[in-house]
Amino acid sequence: MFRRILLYAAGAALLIGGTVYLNRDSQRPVRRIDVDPSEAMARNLYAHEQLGTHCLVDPDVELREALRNRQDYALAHLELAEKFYARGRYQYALDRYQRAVELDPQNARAHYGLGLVQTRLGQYKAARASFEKALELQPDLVDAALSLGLLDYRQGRFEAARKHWQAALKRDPQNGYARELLGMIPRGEA
Amino acid sequence: MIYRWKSRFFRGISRGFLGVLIPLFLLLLLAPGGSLGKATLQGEWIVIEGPGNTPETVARDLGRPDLFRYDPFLGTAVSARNLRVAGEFQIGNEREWDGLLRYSTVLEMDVAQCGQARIDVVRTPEQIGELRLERGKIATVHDLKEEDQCATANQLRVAGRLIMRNSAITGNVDGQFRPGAEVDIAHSSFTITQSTGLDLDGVQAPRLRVRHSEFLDNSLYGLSVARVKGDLEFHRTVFRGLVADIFNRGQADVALIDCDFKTIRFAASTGSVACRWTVTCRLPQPHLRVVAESEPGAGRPERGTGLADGNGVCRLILTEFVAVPGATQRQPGVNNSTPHRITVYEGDHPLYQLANYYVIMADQEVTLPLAKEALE
Repeated sequence: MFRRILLYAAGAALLIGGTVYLNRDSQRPVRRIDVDPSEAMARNLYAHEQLGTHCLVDPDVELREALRNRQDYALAHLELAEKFYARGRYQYALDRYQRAVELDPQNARAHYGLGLVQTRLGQYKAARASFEKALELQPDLVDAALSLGLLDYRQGRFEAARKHWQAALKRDPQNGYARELLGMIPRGEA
Repeated sequence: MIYRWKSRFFRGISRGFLGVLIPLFLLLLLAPGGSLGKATLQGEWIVIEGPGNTPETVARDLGRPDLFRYDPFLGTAVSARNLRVAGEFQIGNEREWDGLLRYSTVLEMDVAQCGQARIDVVRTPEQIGELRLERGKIATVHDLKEEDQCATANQLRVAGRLIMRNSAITGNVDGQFRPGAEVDIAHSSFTITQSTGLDLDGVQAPRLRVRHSEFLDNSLYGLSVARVKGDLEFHRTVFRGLVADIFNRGQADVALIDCDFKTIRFAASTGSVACRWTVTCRLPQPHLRVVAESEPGAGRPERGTGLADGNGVCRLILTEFVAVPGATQRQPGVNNSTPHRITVYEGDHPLYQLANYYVIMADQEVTLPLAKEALE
């Protein structure tokens, strides 16, 4: 009987002592999740959806559900916008990009994505502003420079297009697309 | 004399009678809900015949709310049976659209009751079915939270006429168009199918007009074509499919003008898909002639001509490349038509020329001659 009590007490001491020891540093608990809990929830649900359910399309249904719980999560809006853009759902993508930009105005990727979808919708003036903002926030965002050049090319401003593409090539000398675009500058003869 | 009096008398009576009967007939015809069409239940199908049918008249003709009901307040009809459109059937009305909701009328197929939903727009020697959607939507009823999804594969089979304006077909409804089909789709969408958004087999190109529309979220293809007579054209349309956006099964030449797509796939050794763009040339004088020719070395050289209008604006539709089996993207020297050399003529005299101009996207504009700062 006495031995049993001793045994139980030793086990309890081990358990409590171990827990105290492992969590001795209050700044770094052992089992703390070092990510934003909302992101963890959103990613977990999205991954679950991707594993395959019987839902026909829209793997973003659960992600949107997650967004309902955390409306101010800019990254979730941004990722949803990118998926809608890839699927050709430009109006939905526009709404999400605008929300992402509202929530995180310093996010160059959001401004760039917004510019892309505005280009698709024919809102060229707004697209130009979005690309310029993206470049302002992140000058090494080569894709934004290329897109600005394409906007200029579309509107017949070939010299401005050349400047943007040259700037992109300077930032990224290995960028084959920039080289290809520079070869597309037309020649005018009177 | 009596005979003449009697005949005049009876003539007068008949004219008077007709004079009352005809307006009465017209009044019945033109009265709200007036229709010469009818809808009947034939086996598992609701057959719609004659002109002037709408969801409201179909519900009234059938008198079976368990099979087909219409809620005028919500503008929603629910059908528990498949539909065979052998007459005119209009869903939605632009004039009645209040501008608040996106669609004025929605027809939902209750797949829990009718199983795999089918809407057949038929064409027979006696009659041609016409399905018209104006601010209307065809969808499916189900219990999934995302309104466009549906687990059953449903079909819209058109051999008659389909006219869509500012409308949508969704809920896993494949659009299959067969010989004889006449299609006119503008500002509309087909979304979310397990198969193909727009499936054209054996159709005649002149009977088909699709523009400013979208075919999205298709598990297989956005557009599938085969055995098309004539050159098919699509304008400003978005195609998306998980396997490929465009699928050419052979014997079909398709031109995609200002369209949005990425991938092309062929299943035969014949057929082509031309990627074309509209270019706006702005000239200093009206009525000048503009000629755009492919630069030497193009795999598929072309020559396009246009005349500037009174404002000096000339629009040309030029080809970027022509995808064929074995070359589904632009390959210089193989299937490309661009770059182009654009020459402006006054009569037969060339005024300006722009060389090495690439046509690669929608809404390209160029002002000729180029201003000095635009040149090298």
